[in-house]
Amino acid sequence: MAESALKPASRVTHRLVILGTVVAIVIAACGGTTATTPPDESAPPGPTSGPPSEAPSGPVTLRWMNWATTDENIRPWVEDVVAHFEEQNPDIKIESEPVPVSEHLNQLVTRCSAGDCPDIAQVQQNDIFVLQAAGLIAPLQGYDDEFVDSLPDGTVNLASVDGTLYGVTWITAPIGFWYNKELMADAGLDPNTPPTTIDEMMSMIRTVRDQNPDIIGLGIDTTLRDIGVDATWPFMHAFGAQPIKDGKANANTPEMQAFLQWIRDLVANGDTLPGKKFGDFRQSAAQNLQLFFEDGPYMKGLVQGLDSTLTDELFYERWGVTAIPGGAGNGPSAGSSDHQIAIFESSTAKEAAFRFAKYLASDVYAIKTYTAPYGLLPPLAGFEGEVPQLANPASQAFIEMGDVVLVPPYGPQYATSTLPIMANIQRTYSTQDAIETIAIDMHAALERVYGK
Amino acid sequence: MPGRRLSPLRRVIHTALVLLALAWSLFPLYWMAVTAFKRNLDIFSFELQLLPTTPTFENFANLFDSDVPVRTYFINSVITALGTCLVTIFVSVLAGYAFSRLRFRGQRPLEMSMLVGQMFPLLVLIIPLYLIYLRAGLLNTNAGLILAFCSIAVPVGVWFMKNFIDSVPRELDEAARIDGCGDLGIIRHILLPLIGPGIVAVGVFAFLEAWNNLVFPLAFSTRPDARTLPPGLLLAVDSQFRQDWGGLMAASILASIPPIVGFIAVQRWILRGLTSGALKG
Amino acid sequence: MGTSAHQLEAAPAPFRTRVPLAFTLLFPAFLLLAAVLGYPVLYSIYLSFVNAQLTRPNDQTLAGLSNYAALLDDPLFGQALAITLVITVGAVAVSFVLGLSFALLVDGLKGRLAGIRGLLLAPWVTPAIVVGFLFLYMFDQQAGVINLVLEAFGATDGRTAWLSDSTLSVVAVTVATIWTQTPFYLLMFAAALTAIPTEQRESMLIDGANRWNEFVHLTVPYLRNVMVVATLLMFIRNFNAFPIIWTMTQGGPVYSTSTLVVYVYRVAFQQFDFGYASAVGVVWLAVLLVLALAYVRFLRRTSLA
Repeated sequence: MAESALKPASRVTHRLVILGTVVAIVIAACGGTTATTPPDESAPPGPTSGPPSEAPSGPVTLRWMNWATTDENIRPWVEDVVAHFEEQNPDIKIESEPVPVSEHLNQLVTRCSAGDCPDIAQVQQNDIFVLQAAGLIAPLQGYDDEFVDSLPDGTVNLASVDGTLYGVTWITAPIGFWYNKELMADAGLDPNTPPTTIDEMMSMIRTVRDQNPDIIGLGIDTTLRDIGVDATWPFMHAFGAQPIKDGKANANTPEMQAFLQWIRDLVANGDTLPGKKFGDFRQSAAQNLQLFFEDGPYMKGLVQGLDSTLTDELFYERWGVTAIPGGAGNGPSAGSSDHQIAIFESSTAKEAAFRFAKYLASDVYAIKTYTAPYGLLPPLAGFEGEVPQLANPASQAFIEMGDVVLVPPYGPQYATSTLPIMANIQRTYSTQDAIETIAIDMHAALERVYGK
Repeated sequence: MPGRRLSPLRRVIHTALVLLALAWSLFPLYWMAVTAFKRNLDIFSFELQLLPTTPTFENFANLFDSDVPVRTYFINSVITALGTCLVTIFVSVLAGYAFSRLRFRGQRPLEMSMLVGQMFPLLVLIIPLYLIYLRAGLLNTNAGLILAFCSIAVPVGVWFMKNFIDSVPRELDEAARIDGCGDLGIIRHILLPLIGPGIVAVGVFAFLEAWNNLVFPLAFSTRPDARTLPPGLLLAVDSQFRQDWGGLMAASILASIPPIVGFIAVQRWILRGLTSGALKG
Repeated sequence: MGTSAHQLEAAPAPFRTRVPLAFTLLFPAFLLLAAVLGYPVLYSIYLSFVNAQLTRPNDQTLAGLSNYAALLDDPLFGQALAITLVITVGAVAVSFVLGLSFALLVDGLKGRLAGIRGLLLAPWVTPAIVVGFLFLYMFDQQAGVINLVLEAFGATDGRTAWLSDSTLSVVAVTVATIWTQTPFYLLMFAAALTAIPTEQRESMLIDGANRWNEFVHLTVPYLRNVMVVATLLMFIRNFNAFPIIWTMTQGGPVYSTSTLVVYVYRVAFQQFDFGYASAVGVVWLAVLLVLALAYVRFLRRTSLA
């Protein structure tokens, strides 16, 4: 039955199948090419070399990867800010590429690995240190040094590697300590004296929860995220615990053990909910079931979004904010959280990119339209006169907190160290392991990252 | 079972089990719908609300009011899912026939090699794939997404198609061959009608593979207007500082209705294959 | 494989051996796979022998087997492999049983009731990312419907922190996975059930076969091949299941739900070590190939016995 020769008719059909497949794939590929031109082909080939200050002739398009435009409530504000910039700078077009905040760094890396970096990107926390080590972002000296010198040291340090600036701070939003004045007053506490030490805080939580056990005492981030460490750092600081010190592992200390024991007790007593992002506690805050929690200045708008009856007046009656309580050796502190604009080495329009970054950070229109309404702070002080939204108790408290913001030891290795820190914190409440063992293991894991 | 007379007790048990199966499958979707009708404040209420105490259309209204490109995401999802479905069926029927009906050297290694791409962490493949897509100009195109989705759906489609074709007696093709049919003729006239349910199953599988895929469109659609629903939904819920639970649930419910209706329509088609008696051969 | 019930009745017709035809028919499938996955897989295998850390751009040298050595040295890798196997086996086994039961339950439903099958497929249209958020919400300690319902029935004292318990979190992510995957088995088994010739069933009934006999001697042989393929494919695919776990637990608490794919994600996209991530991929490929071949061989042997 085995026929080796094909019938003529079926031979034709064979060729048709093969031809059809090839054509389909070629069409798919060509169809793509006409729809999107890769940026390196659309850029004029001539004037790409030369000093960065030399602007190419004709309008340039800046591809801007960001997560600011992913929130549908906020996107119109950012678009308004961008439109205003394009009006003032007709030679520059901004093409926004929204990415989810949780995915932004890996999308950035994927694209850059293929040589397809955007021109500029919104970055945060440790990003600058990773991107700088990878040689992907450009130093920002020589564009507008006068502006750079005017920036406060705090934000400059967060965006500098070995003294060289790699990012323009767009907004700053420290993580502070929100306290519920209503619940404090209900329990007979003075609503205007928030705790300044962990001990004071714990005794207040006891008082309130003894009367109403449904109240959640403290909102603290215990997720396995990089930002979890940034948010937990001030609490560790209160105990004098510092898992990484002078570029070495430093987790096997009595201070760290005291901190870990505190977390274990906190969860065991039901004073907090384990495994939550700090933002998750806004839900119980909106229901007025949250006594204390750590969160940024944007908390106000978000909680008002959850409970539309909460007017500004009612909000400030209920909520106050201050620095996160200190402890034995250390005073109160705040968590770091800045968003910067980084400019990529591969960009052919770095000067235009810098202009946009400077505009976002320091233009009154940008601050009035996006930064202040969102509850964020501009990196530079002194806008209160022109931007009345900044003159509210919460923003003022956060501006004061600027001096006590703690910066974790950012760097290329930091990305690898956050997981063992947070995983061992989770171990305190999800296992029965001895606190001492947990501290020893955290130390050993960090030694794998930083060396002995 | 068809044509079986059930005793009353058995009928009661059968009905109870079907209801249990429905409860398991639909309760989470019900909960999604209930959440979509809740006010933001009630979503994380500590009290059980099996029905929203103060129902609201806010979450749905927001979807239509704002210029959220959910409609664009939805259209892209439909196009890419249908495209994936058609390409996968076409390619799988041909390859399934070859694996089922022909014997050739290297057949088993070839069958296994189809699965190799699936045996690798997709996340690791994304970086080299992005480069290919960039060079080929496939970024931000539906064609590019269809190709990527097919690479996941086709191996599964081929394996199932081989099995569905295996279950059709080979005597049928031989009879057709004697009547003068070529191989493609056998596929068209003999197999296609008989493996209808299998084709529907593979088609549904391919459709949903594309419909649910997050990794590819997240990486290969840099422009919002080129995105499909899953990355769109992720963008909606996971924005800068806010998590919009109600909005996510509302968008998911709206996006789920068309495929569910499609299922109910399509599965009648599976039944038709059963009742046509074609397999009596 | 390749033997199913009806083929046992008559002598099978001989297979046809025609290489050009096979080439033509397989060409589209393999062209597509080669174009999309061929190069990336080969490139990743190459990368696994290279120092390819993003944060050390000037240090991209051949590394020999050092990535693999580092892998063996990392206790988290073995743990990740173990937890992957636990979750995968659990999810595949339970969804298989549920999917088969559902398929048998709805097999005889006709007319309007036939729509029930469509409804049972509904969980599948929910994208994994939404399933993750949905079950994260349903398993929430304070506001989750599961705890609230348990409480309403008085089944628990206190609200369980499902996702912060090292055992319960595994259960929770597996339940979410089972919920989305069951329809896949239902669909495949339902399609395969339609291939059972009606008169065979009828003759079984005339013989007075009871239900269990009918299931074992008629239904199982017909479904056998589809069962094998479905379990094999879903086993392989579950290794890649990422969004549900990542949304619900990020691999926590501690490392209790850190499967291989979570491990790879962290290595590739949080530590940016692509060489090491590729080495994990190669080991993953080897593990799955060995398991798949062993499974297929085992089944072939038992089917001959």
